[in-house]
Order: sequence, then C-alpha cells, then structure tokens
Amino acid sequence: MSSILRVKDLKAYYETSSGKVVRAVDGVSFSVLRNEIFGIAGESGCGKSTLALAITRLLRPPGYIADGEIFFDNINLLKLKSEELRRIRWRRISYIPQSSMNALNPVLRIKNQIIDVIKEHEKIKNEEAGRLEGYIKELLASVGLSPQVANMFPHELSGGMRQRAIIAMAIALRPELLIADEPTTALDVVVQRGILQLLSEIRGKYGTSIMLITHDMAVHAEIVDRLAIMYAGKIVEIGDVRSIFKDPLHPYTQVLIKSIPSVEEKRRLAGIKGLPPDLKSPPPGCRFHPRCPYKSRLCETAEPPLREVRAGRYVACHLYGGISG
Amino acid sequence: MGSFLLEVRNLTKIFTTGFLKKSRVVAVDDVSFTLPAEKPIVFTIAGESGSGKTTIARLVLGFIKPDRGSIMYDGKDIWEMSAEEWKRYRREVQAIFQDPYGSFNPLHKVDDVFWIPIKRFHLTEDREEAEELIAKSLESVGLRSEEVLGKYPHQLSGGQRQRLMLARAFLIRPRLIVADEPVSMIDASLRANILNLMLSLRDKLKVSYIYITHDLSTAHYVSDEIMILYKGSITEMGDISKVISNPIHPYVRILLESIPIPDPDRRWKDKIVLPKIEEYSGDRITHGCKFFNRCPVKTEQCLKGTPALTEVERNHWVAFFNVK
Repeated sequence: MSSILRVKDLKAYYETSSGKVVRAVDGVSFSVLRNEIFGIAGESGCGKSTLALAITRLLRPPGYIADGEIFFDNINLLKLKSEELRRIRWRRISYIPQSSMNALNPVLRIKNQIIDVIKEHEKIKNEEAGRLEGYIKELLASVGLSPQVANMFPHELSGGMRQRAIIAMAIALRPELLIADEPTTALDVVVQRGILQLLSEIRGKYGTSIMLITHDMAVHAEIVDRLAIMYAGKIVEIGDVRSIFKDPLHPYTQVLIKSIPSVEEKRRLAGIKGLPPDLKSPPPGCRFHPRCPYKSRLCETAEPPLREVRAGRYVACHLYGGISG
Repeated sequence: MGSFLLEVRNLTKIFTTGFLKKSRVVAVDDVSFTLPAEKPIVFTIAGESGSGKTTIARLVLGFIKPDRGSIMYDGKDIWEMSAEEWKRYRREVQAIFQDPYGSFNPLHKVDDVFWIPIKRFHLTEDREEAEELIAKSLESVGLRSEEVLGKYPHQLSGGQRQRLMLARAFLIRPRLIVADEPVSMIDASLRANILNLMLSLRDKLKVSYIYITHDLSTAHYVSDEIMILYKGSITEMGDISKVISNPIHPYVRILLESIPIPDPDRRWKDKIVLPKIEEYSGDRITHGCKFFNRCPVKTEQCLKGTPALTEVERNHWVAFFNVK
C-alpha cells in the first residue's frame, strides 16, 4: 500500500519568553497509508497536537518548524506558498482541531458555514446555489443528521450533533486525508461510539485516510489500523494496533496499556512513577529513562533510535535490537 | 436512624430558565440513596452530561437548596443544622473537583490550601505541629514538601494539584469526600496513582466517597456501589459488580456496550444510530419513563407511569417496567 503522508524527522519547537526552546515535537518520522486509520496516542504535553498543527502548517509563533520534511502525496508541504496551501486545505487535507465543535460561528446557520467552506475552495456559480443546498442535505445525511439541521444554529444542537456537523464540513470537499484531534473527548460514551463509527464509515465509503489523535487508548483499540505512541516529543513505538495491544514492546507503551481501567475485570492498575520531562530541558539519552523500570547505563546517555525490530514494528528502546551507537 | 452516614431521600431540584422562567428542568428527580455509617464505601454517581450528577454533588455539599426531599448527615437534616453542626459538617464533608486548578487561588502559594483549614477548623494552634501535619499529609499522597510548598498553582502539574487536594482532605480528616470527576483531566498513567490513593485513604482513614463520573471504567475500579442516572432519575443502582456484570435497564446496557474495550480483537460488532435531530421540549416526556424516546424495548405501558425501583437481586435495583 502506498502512503498518503510521509513525515521525516520533523521538529516543531516553541520559543519561550525566557529564550529557552520547548522541543514539543523532536525528530518524528512516520507515514500514513492510503485508506488507513492511523492513530497517534500519548498523554498531555507529548506533542501530539503540535504534530497536527505542524503537518497542516497551522503552527503559529511562538511555534515554528525547526527541521524535517512532510510529504503529502509527494508534495513537500513545507515548501508550499500560502496560495498553494490554501488549495490543498479542505480539498485534499481536512483538519478537525480539538474542541472545534465549540468553534462553530454562533450567528450562522449550519448550512451557511458549510457553504462558506465550499465557496472558499470551489468556484460555484449563483445558479448552482440550489444544487448546493441539496448537496448539504446529502452531506448531513451521511453523518446521520436530519436535513432540518441545515437551517439550525449551533446553539440548537447538542455537542454530538455539532461534532457531526464539523465532520460533515470536513468531508464536504472529499479530502484524501482527515486529521482529527481528540474528536470525541468531551462527548458522552454513546455519542462517542456513534462518532467513531462514523469516522470508520467515512473511510470505508470514500477511502479517506484518517489520522486520529487521542490520549484514549481504548478508542485506538476500537478503530485504528496502525498506532504510534508518543512520549515527550518523540515517537517511541509504531505498529499495527493488534500487535501493540497484545505485545507492547516499549516500556512506556506497556505501562500505558496496564493503566487502562476496564469495566470487565478489576485488576490493580499500574501507574508510572514521576512526571514526564520538561521539554525545555529533556533528559539526555532516552527521554523515558528516569521513569523506566528497565533502564541501564546506556539509556542515560544514548538516545535509542526508532528501529524496525520486526516486520512493521518500530520501537525506540535499547532493550530491542542490540546495542547501537 | 444513626446507621447512615448520609441518607438522601426523595431529593428533587428544579431549575427554571428562559423568559419569565417559563422553562423548567427537573435536574434531580426524586432521588434516594444512602451511605452506611459502619464502613467506608465509594459510592459512584454516574451519568452523561445533563444527567444531574453534579447537581446532586452541589446539593449534598449544601451549595444549593433542594426543592423537595432531604439530605440527612448523621441523622440530621443539613438544612436544619445549628451553626455548630454546620461547621462540623463543612469540616467532615470535603469536596474535590474536576479541575484542581480552580480550587486554588492563583495569586497565592499552594501552602494556603493547608493553612486556611488549619486555622478555620482549629486543627492546631502550634506552628511546628501544623508544619508536621502538612508534611505528613503530603507524604500520604506521595508528594515531597520541597516539591510543592512555596510554589504557585501554575507551577505544578495537574496530577500534583489533584494530589494536593487529596493531601488537604487527608489533613482535615473528613468522613466523606465528594469527588466530582477528580481524574477526568489527568493522564492515564497518573490517573491510576490517584485512584489507588483514593482507595488507600478509604481503607486507612475510613473515608467514604461520593465519586461522580461519566466514566464507568474508573467507577468499576474504585467503587463499592453505583447509581446510574438518566435525566435526573435513577435507572439502576446497587452493588457495582452486580450492576456492571448483569445490567438490566436498557439505558445502562447501551451505556456499557458503548464503552470502548481496550482490545482490538473485540471491537463493536453492531452499529449504533445517533438521533438525527435533537429531541425538542415538545417531545419531552412528561409522563412515563424518560428513556422512552431512545429505548429499544419500549412498550405502550412505559408512557403510563414512572417505573419504580425494584430490587432484582440482593442490593441491585432497577427502574424498569419489564423486569423479568
């Protein structure tokens, strides 16, 4: 399968007022395949939202891309001028930021907000406006909303309905890649399930690749195909979701999976001692070593590279693949 | 009736909103539950947003007055307490909220969260003894004094702030902690530590909890008993393992089936259909079961009256018409 997105050694930093640099995303590489749901997991502050902002080129000062390459369908996104970027956004790459359901314009009807997106990117003649209304109703139906919703204002909709309206907007121009950052986090579980199933359906129906960012490991287990785990600005493990859950390799991934409570069995949950590092001055060597139960001397000095240790399984840990300098 | 630590009977709270207060929302609708006095338990109140769970917390804490029903603490109605009794109540019943940041004064050092109750409840008059108390309570939640004292709230992580609130609770030695979504903003790897801490305080200090959450997985982990609300009414309650392993109310079943399972080999098989449009106040059920519109097994009977709580097995209650 070919990839739709390739990220190579991406570094996205923030400048702070004290002059120190926060290395939020620090040398991250991965690809998203066509027709794939690719998950990014990690806890708050690990850099997963910054990664989405960097890929969509929406990172604003004091944030900046320090280094790396981002290829979307063989176009180097970091080389594009703003007009070229505009032609790609919404039409080829859509982005649903965190809490975007609360960012709908409160004084515009849902249909007008969708029309604005479409008109911004497609030339629509006035006589086609009627056809557009029909398309919007079809679009709303595809996310399970009644055509009446088109004429409603955001405050008349529940959180789950607003999130579906946002998804309708995001897929209005049939993008090839949809990046969704915590799309279900503030929603009730039943609505969350509906939204996740909707995302799977969109992939199935339109072949859209989806990059799903969430801290919730159980959500990843439900819908993603492959998963990347981030810790302190780095990807520590990538693999297909099944093998990551059955046989997590990185010690951080192992604890992350052990710390998920389950409604099915009451076993003692493991937490991790200590806190994630300050990204202004991350520890030398492996960034997880101060909290790692298996750390050795090497881990304190040498940073483990992300290596393929089995087919399709990448891990950045000295425990695997022997010692390398 | 000294056998209950907390006894809530027929609690009802109605909010009126809109022009001329025309629109009425029954946020809490005839809710009764008890916490035993003889042994500390974690009692979970679970439900979706708008289910009334936080309103119950605010009622129990005495922030708002019920429209009907009563909250008895140690056999005494909290709204009929003398000043002395009320002061004791405020000491013995402590609250922990979702966003620990909101519980701190951002302009003051975090030390205040200890010094204020020490003075207010006259825990000690001796400064050295007070400092020792603070150090001990910090230790009990796994914090080192030098890590946190003398700092401002923004200099601490969310997990540290939440542990500080637990340390404060430890210091005051309450009998009941009302914890409203205490871990929902905390990362999974630290969440386990906080939940384990809650359990150890229950066992060591004999503290009972009302644990308010939307998350049935953490509820299952920490609770002894659970009450699941839907639009202000109890749908199912009782022993947590019975409710989770043998759910009977159709709402509780849907809720449990919708929790993502952290196992990629056991994904959801069937598809859930979300409502196409919001239920309007016009369609709002005024008689009968509130879950009627969404219920997959409804019958005509469900609109005739409100289903009463029935005990289906020992300490497992359901408000459902078709209990077999």
